[in-house]
Amino acid sequence: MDSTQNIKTRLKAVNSVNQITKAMEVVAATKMRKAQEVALNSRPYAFAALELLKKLTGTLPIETTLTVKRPVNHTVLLVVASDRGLTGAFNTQVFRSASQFLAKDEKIINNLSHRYSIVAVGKKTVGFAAKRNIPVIKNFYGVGDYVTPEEVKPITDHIARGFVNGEWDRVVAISTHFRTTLKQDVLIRHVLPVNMEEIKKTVEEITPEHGRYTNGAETQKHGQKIGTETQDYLFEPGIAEIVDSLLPHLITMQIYHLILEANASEHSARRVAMKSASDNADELSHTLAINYNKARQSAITKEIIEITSTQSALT
Amino acid sequence: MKINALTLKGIAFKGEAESLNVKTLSGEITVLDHHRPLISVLTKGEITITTPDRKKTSIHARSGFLEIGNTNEVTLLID
Repeated sequence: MDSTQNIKTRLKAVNSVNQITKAMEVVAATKMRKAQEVALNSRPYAFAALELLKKLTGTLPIETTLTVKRPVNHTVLLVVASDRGLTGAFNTQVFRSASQFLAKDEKIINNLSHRYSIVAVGKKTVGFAAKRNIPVIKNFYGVGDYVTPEEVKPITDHIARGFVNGEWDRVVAISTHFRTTLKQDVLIRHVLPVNMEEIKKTVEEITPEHGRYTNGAETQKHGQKIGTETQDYLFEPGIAEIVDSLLPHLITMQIYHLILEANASEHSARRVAMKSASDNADELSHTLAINYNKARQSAITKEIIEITSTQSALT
Repeated sequence: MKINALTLKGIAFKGEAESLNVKTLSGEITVLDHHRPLISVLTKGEITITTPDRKKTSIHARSGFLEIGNTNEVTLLID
């Protein structure tokens, strides 16, 4: 058995680790709630924007520079991971899905001149890209905590500009979808060329399936409202121009949501990881405390035996 | 008329208004009650909403969209 001194030092260390992980757990929980709230605040805007697009494209299908489908020679992956570690399996899951997607996609495309690039959100993505030998076009750091629409704008602008200029022909986003506080999935969404269905799906996914922020009734109401109205609108300057300026907004909105959800998922994953870490620390500290008491008791017993044996030797 | 001004951060204004002044791509316009249905693109500038009690609310917009429905409802999407 270890000496009491040794056990005491270990016990102290375990207890301070416990304190740190507990603190991190609480911080992550608060941040997760905040990220969810932010996502929810933008919901009315998202629904209204989608409705507007329905009204615009309901009359006739419109082809713009952002909806055009080209033969794919260059695919950009927007991979959303975290800046920092200690998030449990959060990053690994994203990267595993990305690898699976690449493996499948290479077979489908079957084109030797086709190549992939990565737009990285989060420092960990850069590491993944280096490991897979995929060039990183641009990286965005520090979008981990409270993301604002202004922060997302450069990301969207970059992606859309490259697509319009013909630098790449397809943009695929790989990010974590926040289903509930305990369950997150990695989803692969096609961002460009713009697809109405994909945007609609993202908007509908804004509400988590369970928990404080679920509001099924409202979503339903909005769902019915879309597309039932046909009105005689006056378009200024013209339908095509309006759609042209609306689409970048929709993409920004979509990516904003992707990142918000990834944020909420990251914090939630970190919370779970920290919770199990503090649980482990609790258990460890418990066994160490018992060991310490045992060691202390055996030391005392030994001393008493020594005293009594000396005494009996003297008499 | 009813105005619903939405941004990505939340609802900027919601309620009754007497008039609405916005800058659109084809010039600055003022929207009063029972405007005909219109969809337009906003440009950079201030959006001024005058409520029935003559109070003015001002919102800054970098870009956005204006939609006037035929039920005297106005939706603003502001960035």
